[in-house]
Amino acid sequence: MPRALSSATALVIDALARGCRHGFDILDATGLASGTVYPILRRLEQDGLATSRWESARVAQQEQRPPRRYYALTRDGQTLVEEARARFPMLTAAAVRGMRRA
Amino acid sequence: MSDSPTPRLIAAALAVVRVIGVIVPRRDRSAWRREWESEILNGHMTLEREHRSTWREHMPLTRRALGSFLDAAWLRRQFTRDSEVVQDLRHISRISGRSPAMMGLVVAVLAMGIGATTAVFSAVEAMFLRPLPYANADQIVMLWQRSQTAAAADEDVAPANFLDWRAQLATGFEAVAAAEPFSRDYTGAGEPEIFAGARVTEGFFDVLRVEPRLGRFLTADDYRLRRNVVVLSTGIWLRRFGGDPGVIGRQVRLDDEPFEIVGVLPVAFEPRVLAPTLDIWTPKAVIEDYETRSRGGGYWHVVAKLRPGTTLAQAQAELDAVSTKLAAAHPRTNKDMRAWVMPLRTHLAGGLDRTVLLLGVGAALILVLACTTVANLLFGLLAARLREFAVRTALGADRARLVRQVLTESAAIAGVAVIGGIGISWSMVTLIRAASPPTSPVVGVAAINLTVLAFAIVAGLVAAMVSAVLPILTVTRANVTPALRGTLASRTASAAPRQARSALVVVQISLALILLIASGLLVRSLVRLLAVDPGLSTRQLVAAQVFAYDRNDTAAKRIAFFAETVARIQTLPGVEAVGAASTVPFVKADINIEVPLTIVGRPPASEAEAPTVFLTAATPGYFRAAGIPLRRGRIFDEDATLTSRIVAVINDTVARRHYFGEEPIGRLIEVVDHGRRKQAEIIGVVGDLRYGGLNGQSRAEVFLPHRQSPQASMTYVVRTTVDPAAMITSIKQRVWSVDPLQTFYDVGAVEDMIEASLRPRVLALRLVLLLSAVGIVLALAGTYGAVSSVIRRRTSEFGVRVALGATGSDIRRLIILYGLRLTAAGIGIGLLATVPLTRLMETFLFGVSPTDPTTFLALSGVLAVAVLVAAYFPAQRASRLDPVKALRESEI
Repeated sequence: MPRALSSATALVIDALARGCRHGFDILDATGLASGTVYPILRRLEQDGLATSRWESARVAQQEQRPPRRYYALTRDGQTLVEEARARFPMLTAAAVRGMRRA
Repeated sequence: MSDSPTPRLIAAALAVVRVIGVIVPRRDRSAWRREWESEILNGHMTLEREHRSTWREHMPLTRRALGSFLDAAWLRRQFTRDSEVVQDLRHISRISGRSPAMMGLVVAVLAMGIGATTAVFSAVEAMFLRPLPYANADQIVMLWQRSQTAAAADEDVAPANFLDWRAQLATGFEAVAAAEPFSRDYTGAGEPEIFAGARVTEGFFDVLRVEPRLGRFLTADDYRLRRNVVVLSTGIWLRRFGGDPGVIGRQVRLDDEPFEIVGVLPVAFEPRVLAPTLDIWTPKAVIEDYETRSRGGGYWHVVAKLRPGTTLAQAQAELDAVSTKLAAAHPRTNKDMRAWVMPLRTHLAGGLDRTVLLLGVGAALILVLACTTVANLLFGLLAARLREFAVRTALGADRARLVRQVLTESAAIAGVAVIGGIGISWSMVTLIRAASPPTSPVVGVAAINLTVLAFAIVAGLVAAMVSAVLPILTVTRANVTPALRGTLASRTASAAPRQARSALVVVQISLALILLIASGLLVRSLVRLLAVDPGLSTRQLVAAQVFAYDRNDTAAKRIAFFAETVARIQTLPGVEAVGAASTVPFVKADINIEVPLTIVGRPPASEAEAPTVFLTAATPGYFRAAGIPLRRGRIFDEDATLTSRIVAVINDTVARRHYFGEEPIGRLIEVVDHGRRKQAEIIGVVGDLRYGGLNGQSRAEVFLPHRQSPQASMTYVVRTTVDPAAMITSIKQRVWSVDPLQTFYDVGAVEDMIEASLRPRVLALRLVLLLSAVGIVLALAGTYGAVSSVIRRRTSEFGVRVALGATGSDIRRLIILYGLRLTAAGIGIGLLATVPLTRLMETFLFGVSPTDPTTFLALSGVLAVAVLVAAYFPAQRASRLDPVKALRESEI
């Protein structure tokens, strides 16, 4: 990871680590704007820190909704979680606040 | 709260995502849209499930949809950063940042080439490509008469011939109409002025059909009722009537007759027919009796409209049949007369004169020069990056990628150059329009329009691509391995680029020589021309030409009018001397009255060899005012009358030709003046005058006193002690104090008139001088660059040579020999190419042959010396080479 972690990136990594898998779930969890979160996701994916895959159409059909895109941290990404949490101790509090809002 | 707004809100959010998706690179677009749509729909469904379906609860969802813009923008930026075009463009900006002067020069040169070519093209476009403003323009033809015997040019048409054509051409012709040039004095508000115009026969505006700008054109009733009606050109409507739409129906006085203004022509009509531009158009309702018999010399312009489907050949055949009939009916005048049909566009393209041709060649040369310069520069840039290419080739970049990169670079250069070129061409077109004589009206309508812009862009891109071809082929073919190794081998291995660069320098030198010789010939012509003695002193001299027929219909009135006006002008403060003559050099209308001359007491020669002279009527003050030197005898005095003994002043040419070694004063001559044979006594001899501009001829001229040869068309010449331009208005007012309706055909300072006559020549000279200056700079820079790069490449070789005992001067000689070879080749090719090109310039030359050996040799020498000096500096540097350093450097 060449770049220093920004607080927003740290928030997103934290949310992914705590199991938020969809774009909007991450928005809810972090309280960040979509215009911030999505570019972060793209860059994480580009840097090999996160992956994405499409939900199977069958599952989506059963739930009568369009298939969503899942994001998950890769093994490399996992190594960043601790660093992110260590550098931004407020993360947990922010995440809790975000959860409550959702 | 109602449920109804939320589906609409969701639909709006989905629409936003759809629209923004356009920004996303194509390969990711559908996945991106699907992701965002599913997130929004899921969010919506979650809210619905939780019964939070209000408008307020859905707002965050909509905000998030808008945020997709930043996501899309990020992806686009990322994509763009990766794309090779952008990479190349970044590369260019880096390179040009490194050598901004060189890049600026390339762009400027290319811009000049594009600008010059585009300006010339705009003239061609106006002439050949732009649709004519008339309805069914393809069916419109001009008809001329032409003598079959001589190698005669097309002639204007004699009235009687036109009348017969109109009566007899029926099968293939829909309408035939004629315009008779004429002019009338306009005496309305403001200064009286001569309006040039045409009387047109019925149907003229049906053949050349356009929509009137205001009012109407001429109708059948105008002709039947012989109405005094007039159609104005836009130019005169704006200038004399302030562009007032209310002029329609207004009465104006033309030659003291009332005319009703009925219409105004559109701008597009005017410059297209009957050069020069005309101000007024009136009906030719009455055919005079003499006109039905006049078949010899023509002065009418005839236009015709062919029936749809009639070919030119059919029209010509029909005309031929009519010509045959007329030849039989009127053998004296029409035996050898043929009628000739010509498409309107061909007629209009007659304005394509040598100026356009010369400019075209100049523009093409500078474009080629620009291309070689850009090619040379690209060589420099590419050679410096040979290792970069080698590395990238080794890492798997294919040749096509490198070619694309160079092409992108030249396209970027071209893009900037095209913008500059359009600016240059715009100012050139303005310049050409200002300088072009009114007799080439088509050049006058040249403008930068969309077609011309498209041409500029295409020309720029083609030029850039052409410039890039040679460098690309040589550089990308260069052997990779030695370049990578960066050893001695690499410097000799790139012989191919060196040869190509040498070839470019040769081309540059030869182009520079062509331009240099062209400007040399023009400069010499101008110097010779300015050295010409026109025969009169032009400083502080005003000339004012008038045609005073209308209110001076008798000899007595004319004599009185000119005596009175000359006397009144004489009293103006600032006037030193004043006179008048029927013909004065440099004024617009050259009145030629050529009559047979008989020398009394000498047997007349055979009729074919009978000498002729040009007759000029002059007031006594004319010679002093104009500064014409008196060689012998005396000038007229004031007391000559119509009935007293007639006296004459002859010029040097007459004296030389007819009184060689004899005393002409007191001898008698006989000339025909005003239809009468007159015997006159020679009382003086004056110097020759040149007519028809500085490059005109002097002629045998006999002056008679105006009191004994009372002409109505005269030119006042006024010698002033103050700025002549400031005197023009007061001179006019003195004439108007005698006759307030008198118009002036041409008035101005004689020096301004001479300057105006030189303007096209000076313009051509300036352009060619500018081009040759650019050419020389580029050729010298090219030589310097080529020699320097050879030295750079052969540094190690020179080092070895010096180490083995060669001296600095040996090295210098080696390099200068290379420069000499370039020079010799360039000048040889240049000289060969110049000979056919300067022939195009013949009409611009004066007193200098287009292959003037002095100019050719002198300028070749000058260029050769300059090129060798450009080669000398790097050679000198190389001769001071430290062999150790040279060898070490070569190992890098």
